[in-house]
Amino acid sequence: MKVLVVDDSKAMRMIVKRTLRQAGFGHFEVVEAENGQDALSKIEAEAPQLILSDWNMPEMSGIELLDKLAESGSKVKFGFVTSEGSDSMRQRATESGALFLIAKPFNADTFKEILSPHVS
Amino acid sequence: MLQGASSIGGRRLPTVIQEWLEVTTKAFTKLSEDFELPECTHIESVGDIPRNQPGAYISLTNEEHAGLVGVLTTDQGQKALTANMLGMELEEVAELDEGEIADCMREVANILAGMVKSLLTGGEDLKLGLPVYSLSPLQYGSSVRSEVAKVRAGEHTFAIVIILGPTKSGVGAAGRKESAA
Repeated sequence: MKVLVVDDSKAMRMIVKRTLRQAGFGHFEVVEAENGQDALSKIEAEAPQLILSDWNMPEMSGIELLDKLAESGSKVKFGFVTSEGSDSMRQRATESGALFLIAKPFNADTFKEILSPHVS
Repeated sequence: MLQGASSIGGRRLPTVIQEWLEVTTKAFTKLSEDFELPECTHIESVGDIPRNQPGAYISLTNEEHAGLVGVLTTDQGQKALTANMLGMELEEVAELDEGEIADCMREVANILAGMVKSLLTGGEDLKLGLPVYSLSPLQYGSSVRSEVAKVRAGEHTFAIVIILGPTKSGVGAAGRKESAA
């Protein structure tokens, strides 16, 4: 499976990749994007099967990216990995088609539990 | 200390800022545990922001409050935090450039703000900005107040900073970006 990790923080992209490995998903091919706008280019070029995106980013936020994908008819699986996990944000994410929202800080067990149903 | 004791939503600013400081310190202690830093102990609470320490700030705002949450520490403290956060050895962190260390500090502030939002009473209404890194303490006007909690984790001391004022004070305008729908 090819996964696109979208976060404006290089450190957080490193942490997400490490956590994927620790959760048993080390065989995934991971590509990276720095924001929503960058992600749109990477999605076209790399055709990932799963997107793990931060919410709050410059240029284009994660929710704006998700809405853009929905408008284009994309069926790619999409989940948030973000610092906020409020009920209103979870509701907004679900309404826009996100499969899940993982709030930071997270660990490998969280990744394994939440991602497993979507990556079989 | 940046002085000021205006009222926000019927509550005195010193009361509100103390609440923010307690919650943020609690969140940092929890985050330190997650990063497997040595156990955090509270040293003291002061008003003055350390002048010789860099760090990262992020804005938290709602209709009444405009605030900044910050984490400051020494260069060595930043490297220790980065090493634990990224699961790297200190020798490996020494090879990172200043931009990469700053990136880690911004992310610490970002995660911390998310935790504060979830822990603070009424935090649901707070909107997070984008984190910024600063080599020097931020300065604001007379309607704004700052408080600092110093905590020690192992051999490193971290300053947990709250800068808070009424929304009209403009605190946190830099880097602000609405995050919640």
